[in-house]
Amino acid sequence: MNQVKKLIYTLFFSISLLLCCMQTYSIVFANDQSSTITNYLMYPGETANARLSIENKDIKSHTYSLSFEQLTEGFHGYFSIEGKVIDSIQLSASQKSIINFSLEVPVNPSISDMSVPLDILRDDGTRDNITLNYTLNQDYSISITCNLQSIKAINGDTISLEIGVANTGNKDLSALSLQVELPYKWILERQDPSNLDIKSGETGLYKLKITIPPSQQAGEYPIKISCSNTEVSSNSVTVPVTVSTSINLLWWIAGIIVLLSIFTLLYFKKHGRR
Amino acid sequence: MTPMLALIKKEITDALKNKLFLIILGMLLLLTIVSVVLGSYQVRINMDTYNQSVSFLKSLGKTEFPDAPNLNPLSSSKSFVNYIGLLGALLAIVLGNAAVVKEKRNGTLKLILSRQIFRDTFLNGKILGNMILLFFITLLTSIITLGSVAIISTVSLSAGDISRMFVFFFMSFLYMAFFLILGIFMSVLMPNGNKALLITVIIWLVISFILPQIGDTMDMDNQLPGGFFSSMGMNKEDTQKILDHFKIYETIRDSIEQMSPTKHYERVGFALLNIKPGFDKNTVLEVVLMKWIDVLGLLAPSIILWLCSYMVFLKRENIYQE
Repeated sequence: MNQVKKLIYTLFFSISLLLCCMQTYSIVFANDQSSTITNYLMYPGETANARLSIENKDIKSHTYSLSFEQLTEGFHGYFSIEGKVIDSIQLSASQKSIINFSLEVPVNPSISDMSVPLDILRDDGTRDNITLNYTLNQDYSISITCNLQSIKAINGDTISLEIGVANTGNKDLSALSLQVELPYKWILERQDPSNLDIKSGETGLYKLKITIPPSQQAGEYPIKISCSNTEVSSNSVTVPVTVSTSINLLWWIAGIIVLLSIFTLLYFKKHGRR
Repeated sequence: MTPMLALIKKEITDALKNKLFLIILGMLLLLTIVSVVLGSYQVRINMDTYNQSVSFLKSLGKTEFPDAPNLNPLSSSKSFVNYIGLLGALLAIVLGNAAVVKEKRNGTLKLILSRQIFRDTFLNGKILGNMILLFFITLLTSIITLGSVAIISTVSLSAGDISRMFVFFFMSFLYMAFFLILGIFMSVLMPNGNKALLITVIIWLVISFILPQIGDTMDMDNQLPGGFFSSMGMNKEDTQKILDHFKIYETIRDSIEQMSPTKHYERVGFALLNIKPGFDKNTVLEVVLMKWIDVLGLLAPSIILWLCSYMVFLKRENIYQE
């Protein structure tokens, strides 16, 4: 029975994978005057990848310049081959290559649908177009905020922070955990609660207590905070903490110098100037 | 001319005749020039590489360019911190020791003090004369550095950069002034000039090398190459749990480091030169205010030693003996 279940799962995953691949695979024939429209899903804070195939059906080598129109603010796009960013590609006769168009989606996109017309221009002036249509998947989306933009503290202090987590997606989220990146030797004394379940449209709150070590030198140090669960990751918030040294030490040292100065004066008075 | 001015003038003239002082000064200036010129060339190479990339992108018709790299022309003085830590301190020790010892050896101390010059005036003249000399040395090196950076690196320095550079050189002056006063204090404290010089050098070695090294060695994470905690496969949470139990240990470790003026000079110097991250957005005044403990760490020992020198010199009966 277990064997059958395993087989069904394997088949299910294989079909899903195949469907995914089919969805993200488009063909561009660089020597045809054609225009294709393909639909993709985009997720807030993630990168949507579209795979494109370019084939040079000519009998000689050509260079293809790749470009796209200005994207909506917050979105970033680029072409790449095996992770290397490109803006043109050279193909020899009958050569075919697969390139990737990546669309970086902001954490809080201002639009839910967008079209990106891609332009492929061959060095002899032949042009091809393909339009990629993107639809925002708003099932899982979170954003985090901190109650403080910056913090001023003295070394040895314990600072308190409140981190608000808003579920901006359509579905409820559970087991959201906070990731706190602290400077070396700083201690996260308390995080309350350790995990959060937030319903769609609602906001949760984490309370943090962080101790700065007494040996911390004065300077500006960043605390980086983000939130995630298995479905979604949030934007990261960086809170700069300006650490200064306790002023009490200044009074101690100034006091010692003043006392020593008085002692020197008295010493001179007692022994006389020589 | 007042006795104090006469003493100041004499100190400067004598120093320029001191061969050991001139050799160390020559080495310091040479190393400064070499390090600043090399640093400036590095900044220039980085700038040229960036400009070439921008030109290439422009030729491709691009309008968006990568951000300019953080060239930080001030970092060309990074090696200078080490040179002042070594040669600057030695230079000041030699000056400080020679200031009193030469008068004893030449028999001129008795002569000077017999001419109604008080012992405190004598000390003030010695200290101020040598401090003026050190001030001009730091001013000269700052002009060489600024000139080299501006001419060689071709990167324009902002008013903020220039003020940071000058304040950094002032900190270098304070650092050398501490060793000058230490040298004078030891030479008035000890009858034997050679012993005084030897002990001053030992103190310099302890506070410049041993104390910071103890601080570094006592740092738990420095026990293994690549970091103790990461070598043990500990994540940040586990590391923090362990460090939480060592608060007192950390305070002791830090206190040992705080006893070293060299460490204070390094800390304030690296903050002013933007070598330590986190200070690039601050004004020079903000950096000095944030690093007041390090400025005080340079100033306070000098003031204390100056006052102690008065008391020791006033009370001593055998000051003419060498």
